[in-house]
Amino acid sequence: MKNLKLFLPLIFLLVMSVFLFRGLFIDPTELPSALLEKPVPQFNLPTLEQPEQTVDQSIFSGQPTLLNVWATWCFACREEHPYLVELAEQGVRIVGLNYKDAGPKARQWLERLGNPYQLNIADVDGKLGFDLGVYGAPETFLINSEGRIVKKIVGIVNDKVWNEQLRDLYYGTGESTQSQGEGQ
Amino acid sequence: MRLLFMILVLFSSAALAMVELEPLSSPELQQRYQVLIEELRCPKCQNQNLADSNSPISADMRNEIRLQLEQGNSDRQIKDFLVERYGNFVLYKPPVDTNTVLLWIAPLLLLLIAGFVVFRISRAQSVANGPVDWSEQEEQAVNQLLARENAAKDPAEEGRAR
Repeated sequence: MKNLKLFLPLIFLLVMSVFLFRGLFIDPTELPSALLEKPVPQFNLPTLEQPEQTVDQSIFSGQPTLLNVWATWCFACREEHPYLVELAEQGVRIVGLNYKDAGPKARQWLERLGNPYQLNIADVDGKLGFDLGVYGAPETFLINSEGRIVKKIVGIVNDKVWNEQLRDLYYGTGESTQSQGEGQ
Repeated sequence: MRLLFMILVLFSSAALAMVELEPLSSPELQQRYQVLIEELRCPKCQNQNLADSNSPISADMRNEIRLQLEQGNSDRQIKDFLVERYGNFVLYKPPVDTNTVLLWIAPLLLLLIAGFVVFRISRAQSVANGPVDWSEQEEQAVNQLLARENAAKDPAEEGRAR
């Protein structure tokens, strides 16, 4: 019994080390989404492609969708963009949320760099973004065919992120067990 | 010239200060606004409250708070609104529920454990160093044994010392 007491500080140190080591790989600026399993917030906004018409949350029912938050002022979005084009070519359904941006600029950007989006919601004052808990760009939400948010990615979606965190959920094949803080 | 430079540097911090918008429609609302923006955390920054933060999302949140205060919502309603969208992270004081109860109790728990350990150690030490209770008989027996040992030792030691 005495020997166990001698080892307690060591055991405590080892336990702390496990947590601290894990902490090295967690990005503190990534917040877990408060909206997981909740339906996409209601909205009624015009699109970049057809500004005279509006769309609402029903565009997310029926099939799984990646909702990608982007803007022309977002440097990392440019980096992410080619990969989104790749995904779209593979048949992944991507809807864009053009966040706090200018319509003409955004349309020009897409013309120049390619358009992976089925449509782009024009969220000029960021109201929908606010309801989604967006605090920067790029961010990507995976929405299932019932229109519920099942995953949020803060930061760039690249091959690694897609394969480790999104792909299985998108196609409904097995479960993605990675938590949001890891694997970036 | 250097004086001018120093003065300029002194005033440059004013450039970071937020442009304060018009005050709210009543001093009570203004007061509540001030408290709320100091109590709520900017989701994008690391440990800045809404009052201190320059980020666009903080500006959005401050605007939302102003709007809701003018609409007559309670502090509770406003906080719930923001937590619904950004999670408990925006509250400096997270609510006590099954997820956060460990966060709240852990410091107290650790303190209690530490106190307990200190108590046990100090007791063990005092037991080792302090007076031992034993009976008169035992006292005498020990004294006799010690006397016999000393008597046996002394001649041998005297022999070695020479």
